[in-house]
Amino acid sequence: MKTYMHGLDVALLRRFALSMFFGVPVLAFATLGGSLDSVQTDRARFKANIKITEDGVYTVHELTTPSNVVVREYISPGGRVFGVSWRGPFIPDMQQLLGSYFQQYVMAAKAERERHVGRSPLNIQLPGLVVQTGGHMGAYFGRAYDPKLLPAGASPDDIR
Amino acid sequence: MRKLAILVPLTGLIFLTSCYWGRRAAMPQPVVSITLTPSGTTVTGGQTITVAASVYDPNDQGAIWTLSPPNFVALSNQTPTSVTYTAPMSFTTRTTVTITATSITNPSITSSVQISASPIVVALTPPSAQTVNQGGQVQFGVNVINYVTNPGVNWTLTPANGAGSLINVTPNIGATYVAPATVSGPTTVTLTATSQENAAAAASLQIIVLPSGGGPNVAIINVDGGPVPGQTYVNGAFTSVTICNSGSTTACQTVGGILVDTGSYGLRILQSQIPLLKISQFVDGNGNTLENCAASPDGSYLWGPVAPFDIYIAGEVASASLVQVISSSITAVPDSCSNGGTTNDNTPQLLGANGILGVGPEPTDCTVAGVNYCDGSVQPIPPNIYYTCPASGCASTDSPIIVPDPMQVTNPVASLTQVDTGVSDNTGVILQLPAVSSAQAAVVGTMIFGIGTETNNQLGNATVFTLDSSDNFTTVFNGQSLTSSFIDSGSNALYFPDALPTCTDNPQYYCPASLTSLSATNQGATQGQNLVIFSVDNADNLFSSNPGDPVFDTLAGPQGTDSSCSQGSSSSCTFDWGLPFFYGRSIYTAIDGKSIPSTSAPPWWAY
Repeated sequence: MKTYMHGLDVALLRRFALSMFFGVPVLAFATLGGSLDSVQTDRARFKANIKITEDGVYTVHELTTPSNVVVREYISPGGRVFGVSWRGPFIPDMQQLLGSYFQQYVMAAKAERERHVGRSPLNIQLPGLVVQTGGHMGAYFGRAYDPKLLPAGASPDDIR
Repeated sequence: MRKLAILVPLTGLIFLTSCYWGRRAAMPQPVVSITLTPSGTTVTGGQTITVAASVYDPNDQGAIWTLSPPNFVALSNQTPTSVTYTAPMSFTTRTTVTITATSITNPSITSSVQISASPIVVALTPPSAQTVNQGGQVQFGVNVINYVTNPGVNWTLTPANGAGSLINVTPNIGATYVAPATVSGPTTVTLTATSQENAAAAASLQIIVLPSGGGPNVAIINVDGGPVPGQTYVNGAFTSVTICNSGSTTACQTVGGILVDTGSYGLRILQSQIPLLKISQFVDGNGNTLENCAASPDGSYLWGPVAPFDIYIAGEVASASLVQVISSSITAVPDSCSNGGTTNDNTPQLLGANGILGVGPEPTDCTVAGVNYCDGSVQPIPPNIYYTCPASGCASTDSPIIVPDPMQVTNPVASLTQVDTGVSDNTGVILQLPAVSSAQAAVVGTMIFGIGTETNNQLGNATVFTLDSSDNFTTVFNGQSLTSSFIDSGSNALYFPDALPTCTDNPQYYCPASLTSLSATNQGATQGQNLVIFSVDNADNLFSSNPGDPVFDTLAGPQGTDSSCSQGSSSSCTFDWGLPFFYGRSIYTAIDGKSIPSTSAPPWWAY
């Protein structure tokens, strides 16, 4: 297992701040089901530490968003993001995180809300999408993965 | 001069022409004028006033009368030169009434007077529901505004007999309620003060007499299924608050069905529940208003402006407390708040409540372990909590903004003082619910304000559990170290990772074959350790055997997966100690930044 640390890049940070100022949308991280290329693109735009961990089966990119939310992307040997997890003081942009899975998530979350009133964690179990969230104001976490994209040798439990 | 010379003949020509055509159509209108008296007067509920018209009219025909708004009760005794206006007996907001006299001879001639109709308002001090011990007393003051001659009220108790008595009664100062010497359980009495001048003007509040544990810093909480008819909110603790326009003791509304939530910070109230109050939004130089977003892990969110109100609860008040008013109608919400279309909980049916009272261990909704993430002090790019929007509404692409601490939604407990004494009870809350045996239709508990500030809120033998940098502690359960665990009255079950089977009908809960006894150990970040024994029952069976019941002390559900937390620590490794944990316990929540004698620095929980 190898771990790389990329330090804070001041030039990148400045560019990021400028792009925010002019209202250009900034991708902070890759989306579920996205390609490794998209991860690399996002890394170039990203402002803070990126930690890359490899083991025999998959690669994990750990990013910290400007709002101090830690996002992990789980990338298969084929170069696709098969799972994402997040934790931090705020809920990240789920649309950005889930990409093409987002509408499925919205429908399932609404359906679960309509089934019962009350405040509880989310546990969406669909054939092609699992989303589990929890936490309280100021400390949220969650994970999402596509069981069909799990590489051989990887377990859903690895996404955390 | 030349221009004037041309104008004069032209004007003469027009005059002649109009006379000619006028002769063919009708006689020229005679000169008529109307003057009304009095003007600028005020009336109150049921009061009458006579308006007189002085009409100069060669035909001597007088005037006819109209009222606007047309149904704001009535005009009577109409003559060509006078009319009597009667204000409604009962109305809630100050209304400007316009009475118009129209000349009968020349209907194009009108004259109007405006009358300001202000309702009689009776206000009690304190204005909110109170608790008192059996044999105890509570003093109330009364204030009547907009009365004509009589500022007095009549005092009544409902039920009239057997539920205590009133002493030291004065019509325009106050009264003292004396509770029965003994009650067998929580007993509710309604106190009403009715204007002697207008019986439609009254104020009332509930007094709950307890065998013990009542007092000015004690509010009632009910686990009763919530405020929405036909809907059962399972394991939700509800209270009532009285919300007043900041600085006013007469412009107030009492709202029940408010969810008590130790997992959030600040009062969030549905706009539809406070129609009579004035929402004093923060407005910047460009007319943009400050809006707040509260997103929930279940994908729902709350959206609306930040506004100050005086929040009364029990005998306490949080003055000019910043509240989120959850907007009833919304044009657009920024995507970074709504996530592009998840559920906006802006009705009682969707929220399951009329509001949420966040009484957790932080002072504002953007503070975590004492760090404020929205004021620009720790990060230049603010999180998705505050926005600024023009009157036309936000755009979906709007970005969050930095907002200083004094403009953030505030945990009202952090600024509570007693109305009568001015003593601060602002260090935290204690929630107390009785132990229950499986399902019940309702239970009554108490929320005590302040920790270590009164004789009834001392720490005693409770164990303090300090919190980490995410306001969490650790629960060791079944070999797993769940390092992001927390106590949350707003979660309606215990949620934790386990191998128990999930339910068929209600997959968010566990369904063991039979009642299963488990144990876990809670550990504070720097101090506190305690073994908890708890039971989990089959949720499908609980619901089907007890339809409509909201109280279940053995309700639990999955949170993450069992095996992932066995492998080591992760932030998603959580034991969410929801409301079932509160049954049979006194649970203390101490607020970050406060100081409580002889204890660790908050934030902490204790039980």
